[in-house]
Amino acid sequence: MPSVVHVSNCCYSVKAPQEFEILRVSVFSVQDGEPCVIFGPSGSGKTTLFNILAGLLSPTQGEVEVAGFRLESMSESERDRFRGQHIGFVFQSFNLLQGLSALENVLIGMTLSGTQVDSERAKWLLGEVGLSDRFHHRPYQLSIGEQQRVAVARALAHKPTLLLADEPTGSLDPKRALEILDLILSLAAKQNCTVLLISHDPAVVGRFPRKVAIGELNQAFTKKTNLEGNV
Amino acid sequence: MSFFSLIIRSLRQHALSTLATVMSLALGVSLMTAVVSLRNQTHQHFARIGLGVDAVIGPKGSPLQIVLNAVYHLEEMPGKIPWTLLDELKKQPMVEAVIPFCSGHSYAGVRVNAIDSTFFQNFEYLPGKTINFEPQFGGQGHAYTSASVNEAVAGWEAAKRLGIKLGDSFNPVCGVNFGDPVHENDRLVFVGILARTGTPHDRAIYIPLERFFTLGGHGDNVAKMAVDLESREVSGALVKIKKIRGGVMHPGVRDLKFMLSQNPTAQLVIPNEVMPQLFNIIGWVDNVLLGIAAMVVLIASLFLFVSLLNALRERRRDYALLRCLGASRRWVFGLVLAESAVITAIGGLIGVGLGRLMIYAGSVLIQSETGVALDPWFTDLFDILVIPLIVFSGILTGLIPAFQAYRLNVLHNLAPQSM
Repeated sequence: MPSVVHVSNCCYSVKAPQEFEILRVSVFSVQDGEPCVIFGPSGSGKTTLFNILAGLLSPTQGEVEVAGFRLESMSESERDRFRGQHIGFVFQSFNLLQGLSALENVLIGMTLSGTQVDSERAKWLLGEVGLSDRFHHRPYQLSIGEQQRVAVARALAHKPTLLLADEPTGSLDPKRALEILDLILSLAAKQNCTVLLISHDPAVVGRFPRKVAIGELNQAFTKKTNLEGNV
Repeated sequence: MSFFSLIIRSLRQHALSTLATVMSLALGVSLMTAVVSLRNQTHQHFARIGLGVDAVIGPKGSPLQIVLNAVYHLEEMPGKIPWTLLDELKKQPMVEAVIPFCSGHSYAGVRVNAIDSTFFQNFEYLPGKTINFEPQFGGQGHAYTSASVNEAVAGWEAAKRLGIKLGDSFNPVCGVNFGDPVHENDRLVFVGILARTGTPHDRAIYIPLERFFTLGGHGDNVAKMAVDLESREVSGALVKIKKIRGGVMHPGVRDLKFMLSQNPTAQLVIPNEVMPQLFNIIGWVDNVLLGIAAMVVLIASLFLFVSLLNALRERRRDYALLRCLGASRRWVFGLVLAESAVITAIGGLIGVGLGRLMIYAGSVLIQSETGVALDPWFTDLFDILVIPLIVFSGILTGLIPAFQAYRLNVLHNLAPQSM
């Protein structure tokens, strides 16, 4: 099975003021169609890896290939275009545009991806997430769970290759969290979209066939933890 | 979900600040367009066209006062000139016609001008357009003749203002001020209403020149002037100068002007030379108005700048999200600039519309005060350029907020917020 994500010898460090390594991953791959969760405590580099895979951060060194694109060699505008076309996002805090209706929030995903703006598909997706009667409601007229459902519909609107979700259930109660998670997994499977999710919630992690502990993946974090343990 | 519809949604989201910015811009633009248009049109009417009066011969005194009295039916003549001088003037080779008049009377606030009947035959208020009574332009009846005694003609505006109909009669007032005596025994009948000319000639009542000398109460000296032309005096005369090629006045008019400047009682005044002096005197007024309008536009632009910055602050997360969803830096930059351009374009369009209303209101006022009809739809270069200029200024104003949006850090602004 081909890899939708392949990371090798990837490193990300910041200069503040001395160089400080946040992420070091020797090898990490996600197979096409294989839902994967990365879990671990806060500050372990999960979000940094997420941002690198999304093309929002450029690795300091190493190779990052997502959906067949080598991100480390792309310019910022190329990564913008790549993100729009191949990545779907679901965030913890939904990030809906407050001035747009639920339907328009889904349509904007299509517009920015450069794919054909298909309002029928947008309505179908909203129907799939259980919001067929809320097309024209603005975010403030929706509950938290409903807003996250809109975000899921938007993330899949442009038929992305990879759906990246950063703590998508972090703002929801346990029952709703699992509902949303199941929705993400089932809808993504229908769309042939691979899900890579970041979470620290064991209930969420348990739903995934492949679970990757960030501690095993991020050597920089392991090194830091070992140093702290020795002290 | 087009780029443009995203802009409209964004403006709708900040409807109150958008409306306030649009209306302040509209106010500035309307003031500017109204001031510029009214200034240009009045200058054109008062100075360039000259209202058909090539020259005025009048007594010594302020040339401006003479023009205002003879052409605009305002002010009073500073004295009289002898009739015999007009006879000499008629003999000059560059003079085509001399139309003597006696001003100083009124009726219900409208000036009554005793003017020679040749006014109705020889006078062109615009090149090729003579005074007439054509019904399609509001005219009725006919002119009085030199033999008429108790006949009068009303200008279009005067007839409209006083509700004058053919056959109505009136007694002239001896003077132009409230409380001046009425010529009780002199009743004149309206036999004609002039077709509209859009000039100050619309706002006066005309009576035969000869009748002026026979009005009761003027005293023996004036009564004597009715028959004794040697002693006759008049307020002045409209002078029509012969034209050479291209409609230019006969150059001999300069010599005539010089010759009359040597005369102890009279002078020749050319309205086209005098009216620009008036605009030089009152020009500061419209410069001040123009300055105020420019300040309003400037303040509105600052208001736009502040509201764009505020909107940017409120919408950092939205812009970061758009970037995350695939929008490039340039796209977000263009979005902010386009919002600014749309706000200024709407403000400019409303401003031009409001400006037309202001010009219309101004033209009604100017017509009632001076008789000059201005066109609310008059369009000059400024009107054509104002919208592109205002949009350009909007784009300039939006540059800094747009650049801030361009430089926006996506990750910092997408960080989870406390719910």
